[in-house]
Amino acid sequence: MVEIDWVSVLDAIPQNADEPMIERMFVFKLITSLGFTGQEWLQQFNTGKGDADFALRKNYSDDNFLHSRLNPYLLIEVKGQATTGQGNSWNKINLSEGTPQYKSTSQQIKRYLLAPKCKSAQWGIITNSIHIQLFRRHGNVVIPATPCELIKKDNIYEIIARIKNLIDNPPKALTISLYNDKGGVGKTTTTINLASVLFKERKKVLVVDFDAQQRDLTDSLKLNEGEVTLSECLISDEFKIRDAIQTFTIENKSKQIKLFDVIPSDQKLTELTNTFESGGRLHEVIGRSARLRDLLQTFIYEYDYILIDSPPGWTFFSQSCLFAADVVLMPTKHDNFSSLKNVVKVIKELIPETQKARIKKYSEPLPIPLPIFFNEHDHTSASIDRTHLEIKKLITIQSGKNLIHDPDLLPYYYPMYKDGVTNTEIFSISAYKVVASAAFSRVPASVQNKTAYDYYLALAKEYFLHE
Amino acid sequence: MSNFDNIGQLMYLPLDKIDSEIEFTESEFILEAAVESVKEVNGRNWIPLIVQEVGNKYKLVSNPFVYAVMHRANLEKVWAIVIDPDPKNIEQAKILSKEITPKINLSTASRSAIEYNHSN
Repeated sequence: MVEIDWVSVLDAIPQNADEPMIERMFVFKLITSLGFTGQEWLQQFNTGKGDADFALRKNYSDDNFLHSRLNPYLLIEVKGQATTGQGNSWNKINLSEGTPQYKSTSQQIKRYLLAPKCKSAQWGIITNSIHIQLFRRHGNVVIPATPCELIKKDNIYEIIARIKNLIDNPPKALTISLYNDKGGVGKTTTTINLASVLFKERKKVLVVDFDAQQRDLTDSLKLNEGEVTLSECLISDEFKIRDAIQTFTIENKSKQIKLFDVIPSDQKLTELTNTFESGGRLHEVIGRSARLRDLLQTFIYEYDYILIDSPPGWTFFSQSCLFAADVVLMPTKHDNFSSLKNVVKVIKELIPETQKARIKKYSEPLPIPLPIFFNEHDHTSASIDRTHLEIKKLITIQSGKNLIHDPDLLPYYYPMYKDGVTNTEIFSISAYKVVASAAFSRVPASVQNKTAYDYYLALAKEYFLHE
Repeated sequence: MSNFDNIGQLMYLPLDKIDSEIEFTESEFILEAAVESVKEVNGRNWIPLIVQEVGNKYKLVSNPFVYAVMHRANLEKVWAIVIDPDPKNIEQAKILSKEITPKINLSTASRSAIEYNHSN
């Protein structure tokens, strides 16, 4: 690896340097220190949805990226420290999290990463040499992989080493927690059917039943506890979490077919509800709510998807599920207003609280929410009107003298409502009696029935699979 | 305080999850006697270790005597309190456990305080 004297590099960049200057004085060095040679990057790469400033990929023996211009691995979107304003003034570009420029630049890198010519791209960087952030793409999802860091002379080596380590060792899995603070929205049914569909799409899937009270997922798949249980792994390092895995199989033409792996809930998991004062064993869980994330790290280079069935409420169990997740998928019901209202709490309070703790402990600004969907959807035009009225109430806020849609909530209720289009479509899975009755059968509805399969495939495509 | 801060929690943790960088010596006799007293109450340490979280492990902040005794007694799990690793909190824990002596302001201290500090 080429050693760069970053202190001198930062010292040399003039204040208010413009974009071409940042590219020359900073990004070229960044590319070198990330381990790419001059033959492995292109400028102004056409993603199919705009030009990314840089696209990078290691050369294969028979495929030089400069010539083929195909299959980029990493994109970089560069901004200047400022642009020239009127006269001799400067318009500073502030890329710190939450600023309008940060929002537009992170949207830009997300758009490029999901663009048609970037199906192989896994990483995106935004930087103006003052701030830097790495994003990761998994299928249809783009998540932050590092916090948006303020670059200083005493942290730049650490920041770049971390980015290099991530892009050199890309995790395979996306960890999804299915959560709604309100119960009864079909989390378990969605988890099981989503897992089955992802398996059919040739993905390797691990499902975790972390609902100690209900154990619905473990019970409905008729799984037993493994040699080792999840509760044992939470309180001791002596057991290997891998030994807790049970494979869910079905019989087809007298052959056993393996669908997906499950870490089942176990009888003793409920003991972790309380600490010793109330006769529980929660005080023995190493790292408490961080422990599930630590255990699941074992699998992030092995599975394509890790789905966690989370209980409702805000307890050790649900906190652990959010802390372990990259993304949170929130099933709701259109006629269950509490399930819609709770989403506000999840997005505004519970997820930010979890992110703060996760950044503090592991520098991972996760999880992020995904837009809601209506589960078991069966509506009349009157009932759906009431739902939209309710959502309007939830997401409308006062801004000065005007009422506006809360920009922090709008994309999670109405993801298509943007760029001047008033689209209030919400993805939904129709109510279907096969799905409901399959709750009493061991085999998931999406395995038994083509229509149910199509419903859940549509869900997987909407949220996760990149076509 | 966040739900994810385990600060102030009394935990029962595997001893091998707790590292110590504190230098500590004690006579064999005292250590052995303390091990016996711990064993007499089924290995429970009623004076907890003071620890901080470091990633997915813990680090000893204070009570190295208890730590040494629990190791010598071959106990797998110990009681520990998790504290906020602010340097001031760590210093306070060490002062209260008499591992360090509080600093005094020499320009305002009494003669006896200075003499006491000097002799310690």
